[in-house]
Amino acid sequence: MLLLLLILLPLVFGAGLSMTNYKKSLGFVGTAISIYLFIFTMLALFNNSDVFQKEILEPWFKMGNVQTYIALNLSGLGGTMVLLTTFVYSLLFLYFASVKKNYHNNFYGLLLIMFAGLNGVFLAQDLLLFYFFWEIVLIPIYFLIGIWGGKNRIKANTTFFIFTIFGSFLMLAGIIYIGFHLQPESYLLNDIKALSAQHRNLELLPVLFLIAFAIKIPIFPLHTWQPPVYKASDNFVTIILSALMAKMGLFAVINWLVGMFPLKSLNFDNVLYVAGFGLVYASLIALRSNHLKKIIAFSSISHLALIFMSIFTYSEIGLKGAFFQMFSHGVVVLGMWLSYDYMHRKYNVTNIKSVRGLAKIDPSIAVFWTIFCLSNLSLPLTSNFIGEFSMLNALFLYNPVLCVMGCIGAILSAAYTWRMNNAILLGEPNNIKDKKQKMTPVLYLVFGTLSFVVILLGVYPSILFNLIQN
Amino acid sequence: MENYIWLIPLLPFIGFIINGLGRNALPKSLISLIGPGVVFISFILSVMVFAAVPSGAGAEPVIIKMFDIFNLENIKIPFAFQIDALTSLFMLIITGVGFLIHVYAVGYMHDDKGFGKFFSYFNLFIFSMLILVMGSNFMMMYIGWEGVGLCSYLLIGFWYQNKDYTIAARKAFIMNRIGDIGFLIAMFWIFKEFGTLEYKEVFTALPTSSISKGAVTGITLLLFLAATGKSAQLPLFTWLPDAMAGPTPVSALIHAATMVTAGIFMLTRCNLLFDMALTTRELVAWVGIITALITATIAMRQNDIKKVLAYSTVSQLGLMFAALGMGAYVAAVFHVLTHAFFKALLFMGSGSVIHAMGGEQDMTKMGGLRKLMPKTNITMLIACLAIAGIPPLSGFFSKDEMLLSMFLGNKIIWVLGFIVSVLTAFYMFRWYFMTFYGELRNKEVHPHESPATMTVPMMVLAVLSVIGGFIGIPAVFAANGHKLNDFLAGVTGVHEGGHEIAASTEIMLMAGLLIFVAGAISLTYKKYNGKTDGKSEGIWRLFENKWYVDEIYQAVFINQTENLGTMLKKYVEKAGIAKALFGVGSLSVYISKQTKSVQTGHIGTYLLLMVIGIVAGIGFFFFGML
Repeated sequence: MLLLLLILLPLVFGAGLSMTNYKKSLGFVGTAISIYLFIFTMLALFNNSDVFQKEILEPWFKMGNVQTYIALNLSGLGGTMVLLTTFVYSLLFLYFASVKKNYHNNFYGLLLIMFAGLNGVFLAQDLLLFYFFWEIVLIPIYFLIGIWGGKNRIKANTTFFIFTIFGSFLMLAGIIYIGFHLQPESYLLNDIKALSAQHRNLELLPVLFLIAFAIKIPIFPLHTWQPPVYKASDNFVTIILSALMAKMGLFAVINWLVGMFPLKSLNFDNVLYVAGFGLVYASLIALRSNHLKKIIAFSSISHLALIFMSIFTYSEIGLKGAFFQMFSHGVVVLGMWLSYDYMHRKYNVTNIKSVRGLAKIDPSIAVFWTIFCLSNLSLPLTSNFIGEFSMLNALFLYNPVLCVMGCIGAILSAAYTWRMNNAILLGEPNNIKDKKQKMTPVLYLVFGTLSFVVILLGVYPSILFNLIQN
Repeated sequence: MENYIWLIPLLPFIGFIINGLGRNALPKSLISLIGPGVVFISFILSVMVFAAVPSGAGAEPVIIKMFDIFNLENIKIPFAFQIDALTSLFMLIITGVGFLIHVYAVGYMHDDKGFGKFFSYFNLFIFSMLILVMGSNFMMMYIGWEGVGLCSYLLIGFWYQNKDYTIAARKAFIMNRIGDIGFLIAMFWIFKEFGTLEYKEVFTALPTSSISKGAVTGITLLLFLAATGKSAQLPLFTWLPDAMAGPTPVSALIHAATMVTAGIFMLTRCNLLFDMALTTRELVAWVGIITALITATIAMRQNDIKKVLAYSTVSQLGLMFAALGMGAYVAAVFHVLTHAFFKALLFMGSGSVIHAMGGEQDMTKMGGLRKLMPKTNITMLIACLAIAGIPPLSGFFSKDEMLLSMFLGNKIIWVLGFIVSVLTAFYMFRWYFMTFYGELRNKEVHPHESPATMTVPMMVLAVLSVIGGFIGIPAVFAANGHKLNDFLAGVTGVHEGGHEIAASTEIMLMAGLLIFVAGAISLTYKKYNGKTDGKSEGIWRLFENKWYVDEIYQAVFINQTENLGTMLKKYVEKAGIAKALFGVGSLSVYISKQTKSVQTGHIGTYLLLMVIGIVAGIGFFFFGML
């Protein structure tokens, strides 16, 4: 039952916090839960003994003739994503501790409910249960954007909601179709897989799921909700969205879309060309955007498109590389967002013309931010390089044209990353006050940990690859 | 060798960490001990490796595996070192010349605020370069390859308060990135054909493999593209002259001991691949010689003391590539070695002059430094004689060998190479006379000789520039005089440099070139002894303005890419899809305003509507689809 803690603990405390009116900040509850669950996940994943139970399989209810299960599994792909989620949450809450501005406890509460939902999504082995968590995630995010966002948040939020709801309904339709038409014994992944292998004419069904997942990632041209939402949201919400929620979509593609349907029924070559175009397109837009949040948002779209393309090579290196990159992107993008948030709070950094010469005023953040930038443009010996190398290699073997598209993205990523980096950090200090207070130890811990992970995974990626292998 | 080999790259890396973290805390004296110190120990170890390395024809490389980077079912890439004659030679150049430049930098950067930061980047540079040459597979080379790109970015933009310098740094990185992508795709292709990235496995499998001619040509072309980025050849050479923005020791390091030689190293390492792709080799030769010619003409008309040297570097690299194109790998590596000596020396000398002139880089304001800076003057004279190819200085031997390979391979390329060599003498002595002869044109500064930390490394390099050529004495002068050829035979094969040419012809060629070179030097003495260029006209304008290459790139590539981005942003992202898709937000807000009246507040009505909706939806879905 320990496994259930991953979901119940944040859910219970999240619900509690989001309803309380208590004035004093209870953020430390979130910190404690996150770190506890992170350590728990670490121990469970890196310990091969049976001390930690990694699976739960209990009948839930019957829908028509189809049995549903409370089926959770903490291993392989899902386990790695839970590790990422708990890691991101731990650092995020630690970072909260050092930020002067206090959020309402409701804010922390909603974040924790999301935490539960995300863990559920990554653990669920039953399609209906998966869908259930998939939707649960939506509820807190809706309030988080709508209440704590900035300018234009209502419009952005509505767009986001309609997009994702649209996708969710398509997925629901797919689930109902599977239940009534294919009639598997249960909604367990393996049962559906076994059945769908026998059915030939399933062209439309995978597409329903594909659209639902592509919206979440997001893949061009379904990405248009993302940049406005990232820009309008509070930075912490943006972090969750881009470090974790985008991974939900990719995880679903690997685990469910590719997992449920036999390879032959999925011929998405045309979709891959569109995604490849979207990759170059997003990079070009990033090159011409001025707001840091937008640049990071489009950079993310471009990176995620590559992961998406790589999955459909169905090769070992493509899938593992994609997975590696999901983790790595989560870490790197967390670093970039947190650095951005730090610079924004302290020096009022917004767009590339807002501030200059930060390197001279605050070298510590400049070094950390540069490390994340370097990984963002996939420099060797940083984590993103390993992922990108594997994925581009897989794409080259699959279809060189797609690989070249990815490579153009790699060139452009250097261009827009340095453009952003140079504009903020370099030059004579301008528009910027030398605040004497230095970085706090907690911040050194947060940024130091992130940098360490980025470099560790870049030098010795086997740690993560072995985890996926199991 | 296995016991200490990993220390060689690790030591500079440790230096990087210590100097980087302690850049503000450590005293300057300690930093100037650690920075050059770690490189010196690496140098000593490299000498030991050099002594122990198996060399000569048929020598097997020593491979030392540390751990696995990739260890998947289908792809295994270890972090491993491959030590052979070629590697050990480059290790000597990198750590040896690198060490001298470090010492020089202690003097040059002494008053700079970023002293610690500078040495941490410098150490990182040595580390990256060592990884590049010591790796046992293409992945390792790529790690170093991108690593030096990063270091050049950091060092070119070292004085980051100056906006122009940061732009130059960014340009260097992106130009290199374009080349790097060629390397990346070439790696994928090699992996596809051979299933491995280990040099040894690839090159052993090569003769018997069924790889198609097209694939070899494709791979080599991509590798060559990468080389044009790192070694600053057409079309990617424009970053190197701009890289002069960095402090002068950086220029010496980038231009002489590291970075730009990476392309030569890579082609030599892959000589078996290139020998199978003669089309690529022909292209290499032509690109090299044309780059050499264009940049030599540009160097003739620059007045910035460092820019002349920068274009000279590009030009010399062009000659090396032309030689590589002829299959004369040893000749190219030989020139890398001698060039490392005199080009590092030239940059140190120009740094010494800049130092003395209080930061002035314009040669039209200099002159007459001969009397004021005797040590710098004499070392610079030696360097100029060496690069111009006057016997018996080092440049003579290496350049002669390259030209000979061109003479045997392709007469047109040889003629162009001959012209480039004469132009080399011209622009170098123009540089020398303008700076050191005549009278000081700017009377306000009072130049003085540089401190010993700067002049001693210069003198060491001057000695090496004089004697460095004796490891490759051509057979026409001494049988078995070409020690380098024998040393590298295990890597480049023995077919190398076949001197199937009459001794008299060879002597004739040397003498002919020497006459022209001497003529060029005397011409510059007349033209530039105490004088400078007047206003440029005609073709000289073209040279002075660097053939407008930068302007063309700006207009054709950079502006167009940016325009494309702007257009996509304006017409697709903001107008097209955004209006259609982002519009759902505003649309629904609008609709909800209009339909507010439906919100009666009666729960019954809502439930009714909901049921109707669900029924309609499910009905539509099933009946519509089935």
